Amino acid sequence: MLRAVSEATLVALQTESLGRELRESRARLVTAADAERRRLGRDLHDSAQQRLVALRMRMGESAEGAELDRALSELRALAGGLYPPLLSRYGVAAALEALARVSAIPVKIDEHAPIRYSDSVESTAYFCCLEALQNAAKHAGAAATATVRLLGSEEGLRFDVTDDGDGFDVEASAPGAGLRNLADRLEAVGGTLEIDSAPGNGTRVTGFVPAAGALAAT
Amino acid sequence: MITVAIADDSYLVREALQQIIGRSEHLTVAAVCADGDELREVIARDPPDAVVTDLRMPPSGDGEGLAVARELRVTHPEIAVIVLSQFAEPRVALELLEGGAERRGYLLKDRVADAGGLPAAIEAVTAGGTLMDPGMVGSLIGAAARGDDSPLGELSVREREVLALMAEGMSNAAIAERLVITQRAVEKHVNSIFRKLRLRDEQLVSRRVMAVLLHLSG
Repeated sequence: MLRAVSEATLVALQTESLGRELRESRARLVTAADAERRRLGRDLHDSAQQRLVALRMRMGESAEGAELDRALSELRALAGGLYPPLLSRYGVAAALEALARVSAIPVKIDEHAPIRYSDSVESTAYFCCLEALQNAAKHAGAAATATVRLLGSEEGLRFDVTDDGDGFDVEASAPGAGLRNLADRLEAVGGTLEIDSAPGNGTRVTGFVPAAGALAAT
Repeated sequence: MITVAIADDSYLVREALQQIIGRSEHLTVAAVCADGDELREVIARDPPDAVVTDLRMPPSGDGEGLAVARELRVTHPEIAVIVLSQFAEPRVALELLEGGAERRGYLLKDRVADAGGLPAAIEAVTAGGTLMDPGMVGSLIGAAARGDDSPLGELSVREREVLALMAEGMSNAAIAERLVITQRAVEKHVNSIFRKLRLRDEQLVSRRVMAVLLHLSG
């Protein structure tokens, strides 16, 4: 009897420790993938982009120059999609503001209690907001506007992306691959993601990224 | 002759800059540096009239050009500094102007090739002026004007043109010349702009740039 109980406890303990290991390993994977993206983004900037910029400098205003401008802006968007250049220096709000300036629909950024977090916390929050904003630009309708609210605390970074667009039936439609990836990504670092929408009532994506003791100096 | 020190970590960009600056009759390249520390040594040994530096280069990476500009404000206030960047980012520009906008310029690398751009910019900031990239100012005004409640909506087309040229660092006389109108007409537009945007009228062009940029990016 006693043995059975202790064996059950052992199994439970093992399961719990397995669960923890799994969570930790997923969090490590996310962090490693982030670091890799960052490295790729910087490499693109330092190699191909610099080379094209130097070439552009030598060219005056011409048809080739205009063509090169297009190539450069595409490359810049690609590098920025891997890791936004302003994120580590100026934080999530600034990186989102740069995005808002070129967004298809007007986007307002509201930042409360600005605190700086680790690269992995900030990039997770940034890419979640990016995905939510891209969805809003694609599906909310041309007349929609979006607002991002960022609220920092010692526990972590909370974000809230709302739009006043068409909305959709959350029950009836499966989340897109983008949002599903984000939910996975957040879950791996112990965060949360919620999507709330109804036809005619806009969409709201809220989430929380825990600081996990990785609070950086402001 | 205006002596210019160049700093960029990309060999190709250094070559291109040297070529562009070397073509001007009023400018001569006095030193070519590959990072911030080399630039600091050159300035300490033989201070140039103007510095053209990359925003991102070793040793610190992001913002090295800004760091050098900040140091020079204290050690060599007479040296003009142009920071070259790949990003049309107002936060970078505002950081450069902190502590004084005189003799400071922010240009996008892609536009360095455009009609006389860089040599004219070097001469302008060496003469004590401030110069903000027209592309950055344009996208900033475009983004700021998008919100329904934007005070920019109250500006006439002409006033918006004047606002852009003010943000680029032009004096009233220069704006009058560019738009082929009288200086008195420019002054009237400027007063009207400041009233509509509820900004304090700044007499100094350098302080005016700061005020307008802050308003647009706020």
